[in-house]
Amino acid sequence: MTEIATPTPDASSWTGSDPTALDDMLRTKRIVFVTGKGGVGKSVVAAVLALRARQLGLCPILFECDAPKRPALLPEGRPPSSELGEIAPGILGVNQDSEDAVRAYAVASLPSKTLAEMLFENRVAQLFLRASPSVSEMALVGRIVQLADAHDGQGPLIVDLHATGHALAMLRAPDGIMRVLRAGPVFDRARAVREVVLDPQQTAVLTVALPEELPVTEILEFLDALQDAGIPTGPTVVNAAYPDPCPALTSDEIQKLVDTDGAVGAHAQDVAVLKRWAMRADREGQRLHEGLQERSLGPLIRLPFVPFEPGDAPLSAQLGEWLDVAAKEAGGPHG
Amino acid sequence: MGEGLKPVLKRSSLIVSVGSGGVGKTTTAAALAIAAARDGKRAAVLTIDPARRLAQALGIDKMGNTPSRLPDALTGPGIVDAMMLETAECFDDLIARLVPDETRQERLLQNRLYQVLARHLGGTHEYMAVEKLFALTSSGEYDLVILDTPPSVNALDFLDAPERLASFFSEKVTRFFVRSAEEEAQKKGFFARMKDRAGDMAVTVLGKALGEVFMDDVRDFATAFQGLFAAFRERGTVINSLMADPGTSFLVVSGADPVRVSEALEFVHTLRKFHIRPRAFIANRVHLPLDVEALTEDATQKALKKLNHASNEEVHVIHDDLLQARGFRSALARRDAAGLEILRREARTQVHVVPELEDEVADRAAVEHVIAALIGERED
Repeated sequence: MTEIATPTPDASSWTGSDPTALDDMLRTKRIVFVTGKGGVGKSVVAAVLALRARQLGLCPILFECDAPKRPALLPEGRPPSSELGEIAPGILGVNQDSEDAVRAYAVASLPSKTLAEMLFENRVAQLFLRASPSVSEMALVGRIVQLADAHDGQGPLIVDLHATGHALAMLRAPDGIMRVLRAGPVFDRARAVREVVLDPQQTAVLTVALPEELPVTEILEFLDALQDAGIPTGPTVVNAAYPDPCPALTSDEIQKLVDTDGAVGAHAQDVAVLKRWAMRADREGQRLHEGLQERSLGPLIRLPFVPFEPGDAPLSAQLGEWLDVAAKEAGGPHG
Repeated sequence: MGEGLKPVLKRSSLIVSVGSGGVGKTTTAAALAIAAARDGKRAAVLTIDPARRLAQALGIDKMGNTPSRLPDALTGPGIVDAMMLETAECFDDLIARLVPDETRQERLLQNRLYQVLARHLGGTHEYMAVEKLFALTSSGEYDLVILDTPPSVNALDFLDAPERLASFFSEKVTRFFVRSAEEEAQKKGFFARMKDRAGDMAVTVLGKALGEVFMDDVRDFATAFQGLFAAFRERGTVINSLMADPGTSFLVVSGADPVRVSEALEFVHTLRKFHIRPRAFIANRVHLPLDVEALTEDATQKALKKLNHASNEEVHVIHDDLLQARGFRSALARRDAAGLEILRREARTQVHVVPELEDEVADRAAVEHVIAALIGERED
């Protein structure tokens, strides 16, 4: 394991990041791509952003593509269908099928509907479209821009993408298409889409990381790749950061309690485990904070860990207030 | 089932690990390869993840396209070769292998469409994973190949690759684009050729949609690849039957919370479309249930007295913290127990549990922890 100095849990300078950056983003951007490695809680963060947008009086669209079936995350919510519709009070959502997207995109980018239909009725052309690797990525990003255009002024389109690699492929797709085609209506449409997704005024790519060593390293590499591709980045969210379970005791004192017999020892063991996780969260959060500063990126926003209880509505209304709580913590004194 | 995954390791010549990523898939793949090697097998692990740190922890500098052998001390008496898939390099290797003629090779490598395909577009990872897999399994150098699939919720991308590869190079598609020797000599423009080939509707439509310059590149590309299509298609077919082979085992790696579990079960659904049934599930980083023993404030106070934390107010706060920590971990355990229950009910195959580590450990130790949980005496 790499040697990293272990800061004490309450000495971190990054916990004070102001979450109002998220509010600004939701108010001003038309498209927010939520990206990060699998398992970091992107869908939860996307859902929290949607809830927050609603609190701000906006009407967000939660956009997923080829999402697997899973329980609805939003309170009073239902999973999105292939048609754009309300998935929770005041929140729209869609689960876009990528093949449908290819069709919709072709209709939108070709000069005539007849041409598009011919393209889809022709078996050979269809095979070609299906086999070309970046067509579906381009179609999805094209579809996203199309939806954002139609929803202009009402609220952000929050895109929940499955993995960093996929997001990058999607955001680079217009460039790839333009490089190959160099002319024609599809080229023109790709250029128009590119102008939107690469415009920092309109688009933000929000990255989500867990406060663990590997995810932090990966998110920094991902941010480098985004910067290389000229894609505008937004805030980074550290998800599921364990809080200090017992600020009143030092690690040494907790260890002494662990050595106590009976219930005290068992309970102290839980505190000890959580304390280690909390210290790791602080250390890795700090490393991410420094990595972002080196790259002149940021801000970094911390979302606390909340274990879902079985039988709970998966995302309780309480989560929508995370940002409020975080804002208060950031404003007031710490600890 | 006291041997965990040992029987699966014994009977498999190819293990495909699928899962939504972030659930320790790469570590699990490495752990299984090492376990097989310790049982005397020659194992190869092919990962898509740039898991540099894991590589270092396992005693190799970095993983690349060519095999790096893990130290004997770790894997003996067998061996483990680790490889990471680097798409562009892999594609170039393939061309070099398939096109011995240097002029033709150069022409292909310079083709704009090829360059974009190989380097800039999505989906090529899956194509090349399949290609590399073919090379590894047919080399005869390994008893067991473990493929760590790309971290995508949609396993379809990977499983579809052979078919998409085949259809991309299908003559149905490509014959329209291949220049005849005569055309090659005349270097006719695109629309001139169109007139020669009245009725090639697809090409006309694609040409209008995608532009003439592009269609010329496609023709160059198709012409250069001429004769290779059959080889690609054959490869696609071989891979399809490899996936259906009884020596191939699909393992689904998942977390244990209900959301993760429902994602994992979605994989089963997808696999079924390809007539594949997963051999086993691995639930990773599971928070196990804790013995609950009531804690009184008295007991807390006594223990704190020994630490000279005597103020009553502080005792109260610390006592609350102790109860909350227990409550918090119990909530995690209940969450995972609920997820595991669903998984065991729906999986219809073995479920293996890897507990969450309480301590922060180095990667090497984490790999040993996974081996112990999956191959050791721990039971489902």
